[in-house]
Amino acid sequence: MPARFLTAVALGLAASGPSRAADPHKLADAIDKHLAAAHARARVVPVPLADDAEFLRCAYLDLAGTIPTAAEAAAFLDDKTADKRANLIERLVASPASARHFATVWRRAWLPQSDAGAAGPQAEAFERWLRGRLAAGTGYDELVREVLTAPARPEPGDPSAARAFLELNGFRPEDLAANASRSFLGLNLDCAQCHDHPFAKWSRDQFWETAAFFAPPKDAGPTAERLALLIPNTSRSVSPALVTGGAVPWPKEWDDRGGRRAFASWATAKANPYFAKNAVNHVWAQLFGTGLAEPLDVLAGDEPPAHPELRNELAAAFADSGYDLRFLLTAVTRSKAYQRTSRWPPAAPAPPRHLFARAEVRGLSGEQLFHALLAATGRPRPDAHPDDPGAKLRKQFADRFRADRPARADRTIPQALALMNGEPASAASKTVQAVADAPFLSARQKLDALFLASLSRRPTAAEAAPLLAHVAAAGTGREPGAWADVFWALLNGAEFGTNH
Amino acid sequence: MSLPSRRRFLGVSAAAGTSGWFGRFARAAAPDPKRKRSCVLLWMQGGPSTIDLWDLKPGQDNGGPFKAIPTAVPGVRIGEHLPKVAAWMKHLSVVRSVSTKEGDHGRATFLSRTGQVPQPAVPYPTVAACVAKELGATAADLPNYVSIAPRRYDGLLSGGFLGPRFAPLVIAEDATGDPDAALRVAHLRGAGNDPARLALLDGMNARFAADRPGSVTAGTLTATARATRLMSEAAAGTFDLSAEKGATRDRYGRTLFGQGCLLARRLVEKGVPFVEVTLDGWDTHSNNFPAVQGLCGALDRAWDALLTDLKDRGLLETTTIVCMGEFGRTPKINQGKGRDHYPAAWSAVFGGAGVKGGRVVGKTSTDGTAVEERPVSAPDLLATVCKAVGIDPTKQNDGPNGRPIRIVPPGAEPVEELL
Repeated sequence: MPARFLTAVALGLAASGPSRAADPHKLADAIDKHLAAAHARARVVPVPLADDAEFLRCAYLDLAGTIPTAAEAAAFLDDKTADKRANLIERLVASPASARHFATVWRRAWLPQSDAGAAGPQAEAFERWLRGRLAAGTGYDELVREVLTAPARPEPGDPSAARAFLELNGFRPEDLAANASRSFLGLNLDCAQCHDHPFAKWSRDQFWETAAFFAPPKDAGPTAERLALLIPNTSRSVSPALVTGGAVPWPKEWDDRGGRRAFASWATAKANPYFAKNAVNHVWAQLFGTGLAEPLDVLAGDEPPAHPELRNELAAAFADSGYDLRFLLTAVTRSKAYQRTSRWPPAAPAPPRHLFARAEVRGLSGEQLFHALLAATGRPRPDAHPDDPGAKLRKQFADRFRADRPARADRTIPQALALMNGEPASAASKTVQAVADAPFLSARQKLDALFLASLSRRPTAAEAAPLLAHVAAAGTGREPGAWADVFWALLNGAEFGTNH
Repeated sequence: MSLPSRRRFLGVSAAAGTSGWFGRFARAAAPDPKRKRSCVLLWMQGGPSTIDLWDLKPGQDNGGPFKAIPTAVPGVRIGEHLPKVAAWMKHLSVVRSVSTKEGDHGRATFLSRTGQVPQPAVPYPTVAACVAKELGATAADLPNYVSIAPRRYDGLLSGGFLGPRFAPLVIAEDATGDPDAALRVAHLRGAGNDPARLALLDGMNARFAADRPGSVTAGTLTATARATRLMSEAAAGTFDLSAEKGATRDRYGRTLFGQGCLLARRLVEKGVPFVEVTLDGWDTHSNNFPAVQGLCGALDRAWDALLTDLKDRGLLETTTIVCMGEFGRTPKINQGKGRDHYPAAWSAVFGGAGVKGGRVVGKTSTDGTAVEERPVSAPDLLATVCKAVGIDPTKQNDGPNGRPIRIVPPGAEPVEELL
């Protein structure tokens, strides 16, 4: 098994491996140039760059889906190297934690329905498969092709779980077409399923022509007719056709995946006008909380993107890199735009989100929050093997926090209750006990340790004073309880619970 | 709940005389005139077959096997599987002429809850959230809007642009199985209910929020504050259904919906302005009739118990009841003995506070396929809810980019015949 896995990885790299020539630094500069022009036009002065602690926490949450341990945080803060931010980015994007984090991100973006309880096993298998492919550095285009052309039935010895995409759309041509168009092209065709869309350019025929690529093929007849599909409640039958017009790239050899293969090669071709733009828009929204085009699935709708030239340049660079996700993540997180602080003067009106002149305070996904709690309380992440009971716990926790756009989601009362009264609080007790019992640390050093573990920074003097007073007031023998109060407050605060 | 506090809670209730016919009688005789109104929405998830519930077509091909039975109001007949509800008809009115255009569950649900056609860029709040905003007290221990047993909320049906303060407390979301386990508010008690800890947390949050404005910061702080208030003894006890007598719980039916309605009553008693309880399963594309009969059993029993208890407590005068879904179902019965989505002609039911009972508004054709008299839109229904609970449906809230947006969109007319 390991040998075969390694072979597959090597083949994957040889076949479609991203080119390593692209320079993320150049692209980061281009991002900042485009945005600087936009800020000048809007007469908005962007906020300064985030300090090291703010950057560290964002980079960990965005690239690895968790926060640094206290030791990692202290090491980064005390590191005097000039390019330590770039070094950190390089290390994080290549980390196993990053593959795991983005497996969740893409699984949720491509298969929002997989968060429903009944889809659990498929969601898990799909995510595990994605994790392996991402860890192997597979190109984004290749991932999408594998998802779109997965065999409809499990084949002996076939490790691919990409089939979940078919299963969770019930193998229905209309649902597969709508889901694939939305996820991989940023096109919302859903309304055209029932009627010609009043505003956008999609007709009902176009919807069903797209759906026909996903129809179960009939045995006989010329290629296109094998996939002919009857529009429900009508007597009209349509054959596969591309929404962009043009010739369908039918595969040379026909099998029962022929329609999906044709759709996949059109969708992931460099000439496709939507594919790369949609991918960079999703990555941007993931890293900034707001996409360059919003909503994320109206790429070809009426709403123009906020920065069309920027998006086009990102899309072109991403395609040129061989759809290398690590390259794209590195370039964007190295930009000044990404590294800005979320601080903003209390009284001043905040600039519109789409100018990206200030970092948004973003909500965390359930998985991010769960991993952050594990890191803060010194427990290992449950990603070593899938049967880890910790993985089940993570699922339960994440279910409570699931949201379509975690970055923008409002925290709910049940979520707040779960954090204030639930497992995280009780798990914290061991960390607190260890810190409280450490005979060689002063009270201030103990406070530093709790801050580094939870907020990835050291407290200011003004912050420390009331907390140290709380511990001092507890009296001899009661300090552990007082430290527990402090740590509880740290873990329940908005600073811990958000990405900022 | 710890033992002593539990006993204290029950003790207070007993001293106040919440049991026995005399207490009920005394309160029924003297409803609190200053009491604000509440609304309970019985949400029939999936699109109820209103042609089998409220607007039967006996003798027609489309009619199906169900009989129409007489009700407490002469001349008004409803489906045979709602006999207990039929006895309450003097307090209930049926709108038989609702007509909408959305036939997709998600879009139709959005329309019948917000009054708006979905536009991804504008997060409209539900009218329930608007009602909760108008009637609710900001400092109440209990949330002003509670949604019991809904299908996954998806953030679509929420406080929308009104913000997280007006989003519902969602209980038993997507729940199946044991109602008692599902209807709990998890983690209601624990390490967080400690004034010293909460004071430390407040200090930290205030410092963080001072120079990091934004909706996510505000939402996090709001949720923490609301969770803290909910932990108070009086608020938390409201969710404890075991405080009710076994016989009472049986009357509502030991279903998720039945116990959900009992919880709704307890919340309304404490002044919660908007409670919705979902009964799921109405998407009867095949074998419509046995499914509808089964759902009616749960609905009839719970609704009857809810009306009985509200009336006994003098709360029916201040509580509006609405029963509806996102659309009706095709009058024509399909090959699988089912009925499909049908927004063109369906019924909704209103009762209680602000509503004249015993009326039937509008009329559908003899085959049930078309509205013949008095068409009523989804926004009209929501304007009627607003009027019944005593708020102005044309009141404006600040929408995205500061654009003022009415609670119910312009053009909506309340169904005056019911008010």
